[in-house]
Amino acid sequence: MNYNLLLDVRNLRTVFYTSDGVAPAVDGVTFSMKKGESLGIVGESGCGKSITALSLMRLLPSPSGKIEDGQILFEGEDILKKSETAMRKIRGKKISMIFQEPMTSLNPVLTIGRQVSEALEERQKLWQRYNMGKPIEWLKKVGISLPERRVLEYPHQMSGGMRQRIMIAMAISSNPRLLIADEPTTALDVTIQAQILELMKNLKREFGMAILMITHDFGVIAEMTERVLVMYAGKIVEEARVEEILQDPKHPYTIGLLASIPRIDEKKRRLHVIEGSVPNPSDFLTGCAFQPRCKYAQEICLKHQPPLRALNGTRHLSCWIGTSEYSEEAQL
Amino acid sequence: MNNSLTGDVLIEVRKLVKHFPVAGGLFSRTVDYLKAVDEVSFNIKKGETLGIVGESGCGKSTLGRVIMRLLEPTSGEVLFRGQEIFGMPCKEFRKLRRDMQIMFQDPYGSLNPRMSVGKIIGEPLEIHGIAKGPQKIERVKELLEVVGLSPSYIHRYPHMFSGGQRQRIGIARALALHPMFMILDEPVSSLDVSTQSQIINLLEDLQEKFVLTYLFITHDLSVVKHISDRIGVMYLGQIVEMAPVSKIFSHPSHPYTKALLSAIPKLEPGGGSRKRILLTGDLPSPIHVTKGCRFHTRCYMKMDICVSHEPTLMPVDKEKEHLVACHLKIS
Repeated sequence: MNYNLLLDVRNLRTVFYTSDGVAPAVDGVTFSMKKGESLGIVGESGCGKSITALSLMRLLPSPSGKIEDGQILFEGEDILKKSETAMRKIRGKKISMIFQEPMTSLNPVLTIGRQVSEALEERQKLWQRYNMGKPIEWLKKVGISLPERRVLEYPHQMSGGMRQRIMIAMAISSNPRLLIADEPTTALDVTIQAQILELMKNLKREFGMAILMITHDFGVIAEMTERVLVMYAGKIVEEARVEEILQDPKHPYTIGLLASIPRIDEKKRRLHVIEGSVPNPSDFLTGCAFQPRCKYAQEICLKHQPPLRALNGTRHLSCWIGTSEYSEEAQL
Repeated sequence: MNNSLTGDVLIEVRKLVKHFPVAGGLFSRTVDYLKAVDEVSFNIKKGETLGIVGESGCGKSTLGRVIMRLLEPTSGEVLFRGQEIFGMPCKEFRKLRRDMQIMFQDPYGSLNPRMSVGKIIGEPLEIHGIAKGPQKIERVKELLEVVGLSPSYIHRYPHMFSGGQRQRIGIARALALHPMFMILDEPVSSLDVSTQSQIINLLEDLQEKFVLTYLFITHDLSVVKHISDRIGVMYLGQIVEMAPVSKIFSHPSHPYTKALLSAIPKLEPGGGSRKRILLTGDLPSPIHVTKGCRFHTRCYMKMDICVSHEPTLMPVDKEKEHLVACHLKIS
């Protein structure tokens, strides 16, 4: 066993039972994370990035969502085989998560201090609830001014950026090995986003945890992560180091996505457009899921799902282009 | 699109103010005012796109609504083709409204779920007595095609469409009356990047085709840079800097603009090499506006004068196109 390995997800398949049938939201996702690494998952809404995160925490809505297949090895142990009681010892302790909505993830009727101290100690003695020493310390760590006063206040008295700082304080207070951040800055303004990203970078340096960053924003990915997974329709279509993805994307979807972002550092040009829209998870597609929107699609793309093949040590690609099955001339 | 320098002024906003009363105390008396828009002045030339950019709560959406007269202003004037619109009787104003349209951010909330697409787009035509019956249906089909939807969608309902398609329906509805001026309030903020680029391109094509003038309100600096000719940066109800796009991005002058530009994550590994200006704290409350410059509580270049005196918007270049409200630039 590789002692450097923190998380190893193998062939994860999460489905949702809907009135339209079974929808595979995550379909055969395989990836791994080293200790202290920062990995990003990027994709458009509905691509399965958030469901992947919820599967790791086993927080899927029940009974509609279900992990059908695969393994999630966290520090060598399969999370999917654990009982709910054992899972509680991992959730919020070894793996923590912060969500997009700092408005709804805090309890509106409890003081900030009470909520932070709850995160510190699962089973609290009564007297501990009123000891605000530790919560104050944590609020100070995430850069909240006047923490002595803030612990006595309620979530509605805080701004969005402050609530997200509090969420981060609660998530890291147990010193987790892995922090999953699901669109942590999407609901925030740019100047506040810059503050939160800076804070997360500093805390990562201080505590050495691994961060799994889930976002639709390539800018956040570029800033925060070392390695990226690009997801489309429940599958990983490309995996690479962040500089490789930004400078030399290989999958037609990644290329299109990057070209369609208006850039601040570039001269004005017409934006690239990926025609069509993301397929519904309940639409069954044979072949490559991106093929209906791909200008390079061929016979083979319609018939067979391209496997995720390795290009070099860190790069993986799921596309027929460049394989022997794909002929350069014959295009549809 | 770049005829902005020769074109004439289509809309002129003069010292526009919108204060919302804040109720409190016994019997909900008005105890204070939330100063959402505070003495904003600018003009937009025909065929031009003016981008208004700012963080949430800076008053940019209220500004759009007041210009459309969806909210009555506290004071100030808006001149549309030289006519003052706030003093105008409702009947007369309704005729003028044909030429001014607004499109909202939320493609889910802004279309009536019980109305078919044909009805949604056809309604303004009927209200203004432009087309009825088969003529109306023809026009609706034409509009659907203009915004890149199939005319066969005419009998469908909003829930059958994706976010991007709904935004197209919203655009078709706004275009139905051949407007000259459109206020676009965060039209692409709720869309995914690949859909966002489709809508931005569509808006640019339509502008060229129908010679439209846009007021583009957004918080996204990259989008606003892409689509605008000129940009106004708003902070706490006021415009703090206004300039042509190239100038604002090459020579940002207000400390807030500088911080805003440096805060955008760049598409370079590790965020690139630039130095980031990190602002401390949040946007202060627009109810108790501090004396002096509104930005001084977060400003990293604060001087004594900033606390006591409010700076006014003044030109800083020869062409008088680049306006900044900051003591640093004036003295």
